[in-house]
Amino acid sequence: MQKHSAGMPVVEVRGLWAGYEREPVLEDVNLTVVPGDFIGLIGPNGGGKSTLIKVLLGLLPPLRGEVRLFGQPPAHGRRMVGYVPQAFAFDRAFPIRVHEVVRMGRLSRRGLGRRFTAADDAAVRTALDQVDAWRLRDQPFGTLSGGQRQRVLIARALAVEPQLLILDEPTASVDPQGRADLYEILRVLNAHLSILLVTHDMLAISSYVKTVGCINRRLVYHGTRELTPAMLDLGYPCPVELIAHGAPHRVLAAHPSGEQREERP
Amino acid sequence: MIEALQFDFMRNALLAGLLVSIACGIIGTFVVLNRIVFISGGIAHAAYGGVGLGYFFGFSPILGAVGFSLLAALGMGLVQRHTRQRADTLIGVLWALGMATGIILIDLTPGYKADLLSYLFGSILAVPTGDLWLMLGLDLVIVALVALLYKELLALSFDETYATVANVPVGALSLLLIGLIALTVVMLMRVVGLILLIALLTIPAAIAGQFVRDMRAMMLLAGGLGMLFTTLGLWLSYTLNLTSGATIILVSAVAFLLSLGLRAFTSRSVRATGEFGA
Repeated sequence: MQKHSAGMPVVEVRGLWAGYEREPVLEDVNLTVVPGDFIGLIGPNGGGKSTLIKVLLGLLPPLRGEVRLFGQPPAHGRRMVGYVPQAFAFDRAFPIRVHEVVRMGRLSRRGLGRRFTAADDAAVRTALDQVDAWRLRDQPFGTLSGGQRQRVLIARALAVEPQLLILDEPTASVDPQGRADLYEILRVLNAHLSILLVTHDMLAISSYVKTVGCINRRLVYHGTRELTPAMLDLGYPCPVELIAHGAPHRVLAAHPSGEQREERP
Repeated sequence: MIEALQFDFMRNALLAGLLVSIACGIIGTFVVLNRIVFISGGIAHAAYGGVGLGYFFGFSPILGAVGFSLLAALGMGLVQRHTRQRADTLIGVLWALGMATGIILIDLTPGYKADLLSYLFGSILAVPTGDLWLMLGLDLVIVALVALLYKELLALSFDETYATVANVPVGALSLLLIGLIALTVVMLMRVVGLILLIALLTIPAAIAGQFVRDMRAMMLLAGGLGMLFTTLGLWLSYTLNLTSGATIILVSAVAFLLSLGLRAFTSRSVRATGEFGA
């Protein structure tokens, strides 16, 4: 699966400043993602999570600093990235079927005026199987539940045959059981691709990701599982209780959140 | 209607209605799905500036309309893509600017202005055979381009950000699309006039969108509905001696309201039988 040498970082961000109209939303951000990573970034609204994603995908040029995907500029490196946007942003009345949505993942491989091929159909099938949604293939996308739509968007990202998945709030419109299922899918996928996820969802942060970072204008990321005092200093309210109790996942499980999850060993 | 078809102008009118319906079905689908009805209305009205220019300098007003609508489409497309706030205000200003320019230029043109009203309200009963060939040509261009670029245009309409990430040239394709809207608008001007054409562009697609499950089906159904509305409207206007452009629009609008009612009724009965979401 890995076509690149083991030393090549998946994502390399150095001294990044980014934002709109000369007003930086991100300041001096440094981040390295290596193969096999499963990184969860948390942060408040307006803290720069989606700005970071836009820069990584080459949708927003940095004000300063350097961004590399697989050693290339984002506009080239993004061919190896599967991007999963938020599911609720879509027009539910748009007439499109699930398999047509997933097939968009093949666009970068088929130039203007070229038809999709049997290989593309096979990739669509594989991707839908990976998220257990092949049976939904002929359904209109707008009629799916939040969790189903999110799975289809993950399938679209997988149809790229990516080496990195970037997910933006993947569980924002998903019920608790659907969340656990989605994270389970991501954990399986992580066996052969890297994952970078921004979220509010403490379930993901506490139980599924391998390492945690906190982003609020600046990024604090040390490649650790636990939230550190430095992340607390960024002013994000949720980590407080995690750190105060010293044992993140146990604290969350003890809260009556309606999510009856077994604590993982 | 059958006896009316012995007249050349009625045959041409019927054919013109059928030909514009093809363009309306395809381009109207994109207009509705991309939510650019307002821009399309702006292009239609700004095109009047070109009509005025044609009168003033003594060349074909339709040629002027083509030029002006393409210019307006380019301007409005760029405004929409590159202005962060208040794009709709700027588009509204361009809309009025084009129209006002046309009116002033026509004021400044001496002499009697024949068929001036036909640009405002359409003149489907006076479509010359040469225009039919132009309409057919434009239909073929639209069908060919959309068939060739279907997967990119679908991605652009459904999820522009994702299309960008997939390295689809969304900027160029958006401008192409808006250019095709401009040409369709000029073609529709002959049939229902620039004031009402936005209805014929969007109503068939809006009705079709409620009943189909993919974009191709939406285009086909919208094209068929357009043919039905123009033919029915033409027949009613002939029988009742009414303005044909307005009659066609009225038929379309009534059908739209009926489709809303039908949809409300069917979704209620589906819910009542408990099949919804099963």
